[in-house]
Amino acid sequence: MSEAVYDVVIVGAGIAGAIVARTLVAAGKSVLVLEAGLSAGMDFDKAADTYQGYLDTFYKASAKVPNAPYPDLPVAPSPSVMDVSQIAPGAVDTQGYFVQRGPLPFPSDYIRVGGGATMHWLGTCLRMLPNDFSMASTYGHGVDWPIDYATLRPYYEMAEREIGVSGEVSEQVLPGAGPDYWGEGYALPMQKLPQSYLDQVVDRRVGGMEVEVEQNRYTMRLTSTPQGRNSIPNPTYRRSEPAWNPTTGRLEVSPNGAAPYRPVGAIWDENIGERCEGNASCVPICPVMAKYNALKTFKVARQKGAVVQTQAVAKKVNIDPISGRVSSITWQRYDDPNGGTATTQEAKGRVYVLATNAIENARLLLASEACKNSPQLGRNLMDHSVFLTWGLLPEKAWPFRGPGSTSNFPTFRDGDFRKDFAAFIAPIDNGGWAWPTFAPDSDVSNAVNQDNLFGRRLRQRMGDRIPRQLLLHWEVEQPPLFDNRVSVDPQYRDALGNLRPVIDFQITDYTKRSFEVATAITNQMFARGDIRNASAYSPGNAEYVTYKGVGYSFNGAGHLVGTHRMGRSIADSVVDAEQRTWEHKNLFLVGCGNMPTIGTSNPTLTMSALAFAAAETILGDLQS
Amino acid sequence: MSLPSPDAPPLREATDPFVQTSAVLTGFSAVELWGTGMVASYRQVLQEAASAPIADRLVATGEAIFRRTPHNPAAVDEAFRHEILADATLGPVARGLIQLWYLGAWTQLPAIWRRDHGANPGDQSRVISAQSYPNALVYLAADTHPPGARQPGYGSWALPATSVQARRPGEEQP
Repeated sequence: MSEAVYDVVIVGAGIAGAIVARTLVAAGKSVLVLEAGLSAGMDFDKAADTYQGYLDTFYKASAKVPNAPYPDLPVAPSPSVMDVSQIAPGAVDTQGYFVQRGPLPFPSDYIRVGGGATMHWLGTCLRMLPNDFSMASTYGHGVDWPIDYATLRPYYEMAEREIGVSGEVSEQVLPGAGPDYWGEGYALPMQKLPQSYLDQVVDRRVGGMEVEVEQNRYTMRLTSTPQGRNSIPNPTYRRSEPAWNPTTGRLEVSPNGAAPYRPVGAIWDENIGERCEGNASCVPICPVMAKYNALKTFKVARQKGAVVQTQAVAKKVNIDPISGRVSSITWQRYDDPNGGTATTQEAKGRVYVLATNAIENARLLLASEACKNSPQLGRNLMDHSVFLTWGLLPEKAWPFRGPGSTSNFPTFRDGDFRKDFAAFIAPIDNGGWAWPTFAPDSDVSNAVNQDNLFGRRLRQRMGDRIPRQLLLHWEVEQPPLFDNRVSVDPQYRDALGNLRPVIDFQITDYTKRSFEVATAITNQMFARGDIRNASAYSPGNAEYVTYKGVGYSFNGAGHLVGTHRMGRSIADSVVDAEQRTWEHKNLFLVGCGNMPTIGTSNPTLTMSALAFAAAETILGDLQS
Repeated sequence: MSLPSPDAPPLREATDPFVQTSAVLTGFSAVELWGTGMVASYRQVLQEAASAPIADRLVATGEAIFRRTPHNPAAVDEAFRHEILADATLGPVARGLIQLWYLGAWTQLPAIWRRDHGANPGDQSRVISAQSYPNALVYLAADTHPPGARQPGYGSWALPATSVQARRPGEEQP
C-alpha cells in the first residue's frame, strides 16, 4: 500500500470524507481513506454483530451520553461530555482528551469511529438562512462568507439526497428565507416525519402566540423539522445522484430522471430501518439505522472502489518545502487500541483531503506545522449554546417516544434583533427532562428516596409525572471569536504520542443575552399554556454564566464549527471559497471547520453540501 | 398432557416470596415481574449487594406479612411501610430493590448503611446487564418503552400513548 499513489487521500471516515470519497470514486478516481477508529467499525461483513455490540454497550452504560455505545481508544481518544467540569481561574483541566484552558470548558464531544459523529448525531437537517452568510455586513457581528446561500443551494439538494432527508417543504416558512430559498417545485426525498403528540399538545396550547421581547412582538409558530431519518418516500422526488460531467466541470443532477426514491436501510440488511421505528434513542444510536449515518455512504463508496484503511491514525501532513504542496501523510497503524507499538507508514496521493472534524483537522494541521501563515488556523471555534427550559404540562403528552425532536419554533432564527442578541432555534425535545434532570431515573430516585413512595402509588406517580414533562431547547448562535481556539502543546500527548487538542473557550454577552430572551419567552409561553416552570440553573453546573446579575447554564450541541474557515484571503481564513488551503494547493479541508459562522442550523447538512462542492473542485483540479 | 388438578399446590412462581415482596414494593404484579425475565438475576443482585442474610430477612419479612394479611392490599402496604421501609436495615435495601426493578440498575446503598452492615463487593452502582435496561419498569409506568429497545413502530409517537394499565376511576383522561 505504501507504494501506491492514489488520486486522493482522505483522512477521516465521517460524513464529509464519505461524501467526497463516494463522489470521487463514482467519477472513476482512486481513493484511499485513513480512519483512526477500529477496523470492526468499518467491517461491513460483520456490521450486524458490531452494531449489536454498540447497542449492548449502550444498554449497559450508566450514563447514556452521545459516546456511550462506541469504543474510546487511547491510541485515538475522543472527548466525552463526562469529562466536562468547571475550570478554576488559571487552571488547566487535563482529565479528558481535551486539554481545557477555559475560562469555560468546551462542552461538546465527538467520536473517532467509522462513520464519525453521524453515528450519534440527532439527524436534524436544516439549511442555513441567507443572512447567515452575511452576518458582518447585515448585522455587524461575525464575518461574511465568501459564498452566498444561492451558491450553496444546489449542493444542499445533493446533500439532502445523500442523507435522505424527510420533510415538508411547504411548511418551512422561515424568517429571512426569501422566495428562492427552495427551488421551484422542490421536494425532499421523503415526507415529513409525523410530529410527536407532544408537539401537538404544545402547538394547541401555545402555537401561534405572540411574545414580547425587548419591546418587540414576535409570533411563535411551530414548524416541522426536516431530518435525516427514514419515512415514507415522496412520490414526486425523482432527483438523481450527482454525476461528474468532465465537459462542464460540474457535478450534475437530473431533477426528474431517477427511479423513485427508496429509503436506505441498515448497512447489514437493506430491509431493516426503511422507516423510523420510534426507538427514541437517536442520540446516541439508532438500533435499526433508520437514521442516516456515514457508513451508508461508505458502503456505496467501497462498492465503487474506495479503499479504507482502518486503525490508521494520521500523524503528520508532510509539506514539500520547495513547492509548498503536500507530499504525503504519515500515519500510524496500531494493532492494540490501548497503546503499544504502531508501525509508521506513508500515504501518497495527488490531492489530500482532511475530513476529520473541526477540532481534529486543526489539531493535525497545527501538529504538522501546515497552513502556518494562516493566522486563523485553530481560531473561531464555535458551537451552539444549548440553553434549556423545562416545565410540567397540565396533561399527559407522553414524551420519551419518537425521534429526538420533530418540531421547532424558527421565529428567532433571523431578524433585525441579530444586531443586538444572538439568533436561536427552539426545538421541542421529545425526550422529557432527560437532559437537564436525568429523567426518568431521577424521577424514580426522588420518589423512592425523598417522597417515600413505593408500590402502586409509586407506579401512579411515575405514570402521572413523566408523561407530562416538556423540554425546550434554545440553541443559540455563538459568533466567531479569535480567542476561542484549538492549539497544541508538546507537553500534552495521547498514547501514540500525538498532540492532544488544547482548547480556550468562552461565550460573550451577545450569546448570553439570548438566554435572557429565551427565559422571557418561556415565561410567557408557560403562563399561557398552563405549564409549571421547573427550570433551574445551578452555579455548580460546568457551563454556568451570569448575565445582568442572573445565572444561566447551557450545554454543548456537538456542533463543532469554524477552526479553519473559508474566506477571501489568507489573513482572514485558512481555505479559499473552494475549500482549498491557501498555502498548499493540493490540500483541501472539508467539514464544519470551513464554516465562517454557525447560524441556527445544525451544521451537518451545510457541511455535507460543502463536501459535494469540494468534491467537484477536486475533480476539476484532477482533470487539469 | 394432563391439566393440573384443582387440588394441586400453586405453582412455585405464584408464591415466590421474593417476587411477591417485589410486587408490593414496585406496584407491578408478579406476572409482570416474571415477564421481565429478570427475577433470577435480581434475586442474585440483592443477595450480593445487601448480603444473603439481610436479603433473606427482607424477603422473610414480606412473606410473614402476606401470611398474616393475605387478601388485604391496604394492610399489606401499611405493614410493609412499618416493618420494611421504616426499618433502618431493611428500608434502604427495599428502596434499592425498588430502584433495581424500575431502572434495571443497582444504586449503591447509603454510606451509613455500608458502614453499619458492611460494604459488600456486589454493592456497586451499575446497570446490571444488557437485558436489565430494556426491562426497566419505569418506562412501562410512564406508558412508554426504554429508549433504544421495544420500539413501538413508525408514527406511533404522533398518537396518545396506549396505556398498558387499565385506567383507574378518577384518573385524568388524555
